[in-house]
Amino acid sequence: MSGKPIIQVQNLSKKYRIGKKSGDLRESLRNIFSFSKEKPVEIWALKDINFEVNQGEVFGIIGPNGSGKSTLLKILSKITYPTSGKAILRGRVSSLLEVGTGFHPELTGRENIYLNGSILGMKRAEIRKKFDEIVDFSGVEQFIDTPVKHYSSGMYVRLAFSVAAFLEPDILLVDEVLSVGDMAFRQKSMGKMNEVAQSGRTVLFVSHNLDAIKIMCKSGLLLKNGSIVSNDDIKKIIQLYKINYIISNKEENNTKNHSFINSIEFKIKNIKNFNSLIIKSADNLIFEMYIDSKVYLKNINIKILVKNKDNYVLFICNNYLVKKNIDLKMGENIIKCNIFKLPLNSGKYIIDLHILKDGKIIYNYSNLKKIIIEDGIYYKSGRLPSKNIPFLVDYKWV
Amino acid sequence: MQTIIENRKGLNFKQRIYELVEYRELLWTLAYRDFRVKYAQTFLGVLWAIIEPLFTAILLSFVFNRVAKANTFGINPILFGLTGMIAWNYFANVVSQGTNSLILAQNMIKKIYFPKIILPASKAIAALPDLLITIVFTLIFYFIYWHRIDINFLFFPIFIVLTLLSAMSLGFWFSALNIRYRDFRHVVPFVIRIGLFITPIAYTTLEVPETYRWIFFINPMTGVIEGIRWSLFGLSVNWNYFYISLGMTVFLFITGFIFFNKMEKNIADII
Repeated sequence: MSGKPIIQVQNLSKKYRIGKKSGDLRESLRNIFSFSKEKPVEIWALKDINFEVNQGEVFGIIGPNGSGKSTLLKILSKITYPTSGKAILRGRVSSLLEVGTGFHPELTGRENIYLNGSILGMKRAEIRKKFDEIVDFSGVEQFIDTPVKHYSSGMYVRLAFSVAAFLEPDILLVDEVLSVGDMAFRQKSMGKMNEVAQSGRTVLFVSHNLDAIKIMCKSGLLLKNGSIVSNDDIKKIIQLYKINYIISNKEENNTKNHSFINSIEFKIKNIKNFNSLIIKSADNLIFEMYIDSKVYLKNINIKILVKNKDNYVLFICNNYLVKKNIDLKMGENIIKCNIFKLPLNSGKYIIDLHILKDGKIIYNYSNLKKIIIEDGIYYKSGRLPSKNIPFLVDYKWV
Repeated sequence: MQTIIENRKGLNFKQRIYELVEYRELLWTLAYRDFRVKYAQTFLGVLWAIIEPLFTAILLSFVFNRVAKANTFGINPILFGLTGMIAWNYFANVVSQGTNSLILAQNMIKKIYFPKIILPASKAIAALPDLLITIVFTLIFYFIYWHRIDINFLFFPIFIVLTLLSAMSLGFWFSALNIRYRDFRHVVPFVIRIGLFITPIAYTTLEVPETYRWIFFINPMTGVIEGIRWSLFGLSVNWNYFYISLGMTVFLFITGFIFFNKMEKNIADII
């Protein structure tokens, strides 16, 4: 490769016109015949990007949403063209912006491997040679001749990722595809990626998963609003990103933010009868949360707010108040909170969920769940006060 | 191998064609996918390739030959209609599927680079097995009813190739236009429905007054279908008019290819 960097990006810029993206015929005719054209809004998705990547490097690109990471990758994969500037890629390029591109549900696993492989730029002979390895890696060999529409979603992404994992380009462009499948498969894919990196290939890696970036890359770029904030050692960049990130988080205090947490499933179970869907006053309950975290989060603060239908908070379950330490590991976490003798009258209630890290809200979900509580035996008589009194307290007349 | 990415103004045709050769396997694979998916979970399977043109031919021969009393020159009207339907059915299928080929593959277009002209082109390939089945079926019918086959028959494949080229070139045009103006999604089915009647499928252009006859040949399929009848039944063709159709095919193919390549750069951004 004669010492030249394998990827060279010079003054790369990309402008988008917002508003008049794909008009209709009428719009175009009007534009031809009228002189008073209103100017479309122009946005620079990327502005004067310069960087170089040497052969064998695993290069990370991070930045908040809308910073131009994906646009950069799309330009380097030739999906879209730059408005100005230039990029030189010295070697065979494969891009992996999504797994399973072109998969067709009616076709079998086998047929989809060939289809997806040739879409990704592999030759049939190449796919045939690697076929067994691909199938083996995906772990779906039993169903390889079944149409993929009958696959579970886990099997589907595993097969899709496996095809991509056996690409052998000089330069691999990867966008956020390592977060597919279950925990075990994710680790397997990370291992595969590392293997690719170690074999002397150059990898450009865009991700929100800072842990993965930290493990895989030595250096990288931090982008913000289409410009490079820093091009440096990966640890420094991640630190810078975290500072940047938390500042911008303060501004949008009240929105749900998916940068740390992928998804949360919230379940309410009855301790006595797990399958019962009915919740009654005085029941013992478990609030069960399945939290899929993108990163490792230490000592977080979870608040479950129970409100009446007028949005008035009646009580709160806060792990800090009871001095319970909760850490979220990367991937799936199950967090439980038990409630004894539910002190609520029958009626409709709403649950909110807030998750905080170092006093800053990282996840805020209002009206997460609506619950209906039915009459239960809270007091010996089996009777409850009138409905406009929401709260029940255990007391004793003496 | 070195790739330079920049905002280039002109078209580099040599590079384009080189790239198409590089990606030829994708063309076959996509065509195979379309063919497989078309008959997945159907009971009659590839029989549909015969049923559709056969019934249309019967219907058209009823309308044009029984009702409108068009002359079929002593040829069995259904066989006559079927020879027209071979080409028309393929043409109509390829054009309508070609038109939507880019929009239906938008996910792919946004996520991976490949020469997008492969998408409309693959529709022309995917419909070939159907075309072959219709041809075989029609020729069986033909050999049973027709015993005066002559040397013209050797030209039959040429007209099939012309059908493929015209269908593909309109696929290029309409798919590229459809990206920019979704109106074409409504225009194309409409044009195809009209085409079914203004193409001489169950009649010959001799039914049309001499003065206007050449206008019919602006439709590339008119030349092709009259040519097919010439090769199979020896019916006379006005070759001067035939060259209008041929010229249109070549013109549409070249301009379609150029137009598509001009649009291609922007497809991923405006789709």
